[in-house]
Amino acid sequence: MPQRRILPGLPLSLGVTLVYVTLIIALPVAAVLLKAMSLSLGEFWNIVTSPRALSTYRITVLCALAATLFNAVFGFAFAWVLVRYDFPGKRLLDTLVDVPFALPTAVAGVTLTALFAKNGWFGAPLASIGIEVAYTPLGIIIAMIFTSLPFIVRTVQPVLEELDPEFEDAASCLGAGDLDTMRRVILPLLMPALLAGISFAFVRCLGEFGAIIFIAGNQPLSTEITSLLAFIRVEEFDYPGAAAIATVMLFASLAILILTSLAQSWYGRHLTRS
Amino acid sequence: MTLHIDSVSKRFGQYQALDSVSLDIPKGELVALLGPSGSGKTTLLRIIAGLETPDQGRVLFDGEDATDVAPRYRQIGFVFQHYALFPHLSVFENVAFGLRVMARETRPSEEQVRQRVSEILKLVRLTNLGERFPAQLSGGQRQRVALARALVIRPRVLLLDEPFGALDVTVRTELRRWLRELQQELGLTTIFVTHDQEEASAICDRIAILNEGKLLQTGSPVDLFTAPATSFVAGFLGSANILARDSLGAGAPAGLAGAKLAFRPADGKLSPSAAAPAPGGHLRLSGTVQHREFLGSIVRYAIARPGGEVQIDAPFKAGEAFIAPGTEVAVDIPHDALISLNS
Repeated sequence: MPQRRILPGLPLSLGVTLVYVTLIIALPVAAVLLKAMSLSLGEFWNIVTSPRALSTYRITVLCALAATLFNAVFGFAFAWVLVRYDFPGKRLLDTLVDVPFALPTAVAGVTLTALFAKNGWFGAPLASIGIEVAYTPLGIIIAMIFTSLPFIVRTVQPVLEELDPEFEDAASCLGAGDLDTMRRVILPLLMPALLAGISFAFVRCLGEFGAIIFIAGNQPLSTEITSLLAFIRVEEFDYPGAAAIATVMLFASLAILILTSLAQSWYGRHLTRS
Repeated sequence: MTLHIDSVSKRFGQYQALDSVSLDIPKGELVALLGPSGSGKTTLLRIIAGLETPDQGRVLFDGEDATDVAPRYRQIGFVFQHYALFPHLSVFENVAFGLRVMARETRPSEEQVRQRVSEILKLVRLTNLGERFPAQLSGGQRQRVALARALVIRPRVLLLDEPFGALDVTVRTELRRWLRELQQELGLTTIFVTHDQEEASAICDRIAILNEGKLLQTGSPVDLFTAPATSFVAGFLGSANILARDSLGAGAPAGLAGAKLAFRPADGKLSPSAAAPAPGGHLRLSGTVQHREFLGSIVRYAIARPGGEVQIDAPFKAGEAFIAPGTEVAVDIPHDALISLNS
């Protein structure tokens, strides 16, 4: 007897989804892991803890932290402005947020390099006050900021839209100043969305490649990022070496996403305990 | 605290939300702002709280101009229509909020906060629910938390926006009675916004009737019911039959000067049209029964007449026959039940 289902098409859609996930996501990830496993544990360890690799982790993580921190503040303010104020050109600004999503990262990299080179529009005045951006870690940070901004804006924006301004009215009637209202009411209510945005942005920064390599200068031990090192290993036909480094990046990103989702579900339970 | 609202106007784009509204509220009074939706009553409440700024006019607290004082310095208790309880804070922390955000010099100690919040929770009969979160409460409980949160800062005025709107009928009647008792116990000047005339009449000292941004009339519920000044007020507070004076010809009593006359549906007496002429001191209208509704203790007849339809509520007596639609009837209204209206 055929089983009755309320929602039709489950076997088909589930099947398609699973095949897709397997082919596009799980299989390549497994391939990287398998490739890395062709190394002995000692070889693997030597590759991933070589001074050059360690320096790329340090640069990548520190720059990603700086960029994410910047975007957490700036992206939040951006979302706030888009939701809470009306002004001419708002729609255009709203569209511009997505430019880093739409723009090929190489285009972004070339553009940023041209802008921040010593003779560029931004680079020249900055150079005259002694700040060098292109070919320094600052350049890496700027490229990361550029590509990861939409993640924070686009995760905070819809939640902020749902946030009733009456919460702010209530807080101010109770005597709260702007700072207290932000700290005690708005931020806690936006925290799950902000956390998600921050972690997407951070993971994106860790993995960014195209936008960075143009502006970074890519000097080993000073401005070389981890994904570039993996790329260099591939170019040297050192596939296991590339896979070992890729494995480190993979687990770092996975760990961050898992931690975020744990934090979010803890926070969600905390919010709606019922 | 006494409150003076001095010719306050507010416009939102093309829409005149308030048009030169003036209102004085003495200390300890419970006043209802009553009007249909869009009449400007919530805007007026928000202006008193400082959440909106008037385009013109002033708001005075105890004679002091408070028009430009920010809401956080007004010490006003505001209960929002949907309560606006902070969902991430427990009932206890919601109520404690107003104490925790006080300036450092005046902020009570943790011990004092505990004590004050427990007092207030006891006052609103929520003693055991301090650890709960707003999502775990019923509508009536949320309403009382909102009230407790507003009361904790010892407000000078309590403002309530449709406080019973989101509750079902039984809870609503119970809560409004309780609110009235609490308000009198605390002697707190209170203003509440409602569109429900029964609610306003039931618990208020005074009602201010608003329509299209204008304050039409203020007075005690009884005054407004017995002596409405306009047909809008007459029709809004209880139902009323409005008669244009011209349509009555010579029958209109000479003593009433208004352009329109009104009477309550219960004040008209029905008799067969063939009966004796109207008794002395009565206004007689004649018409045809159009429609009949049985409402339990009364029977409501709609009578069609040349000057427009009137409604008559006849007391229902078991065993008595209804008057059938189509019957010609006479309606007799005693002169002293007629209300003279300006417009």
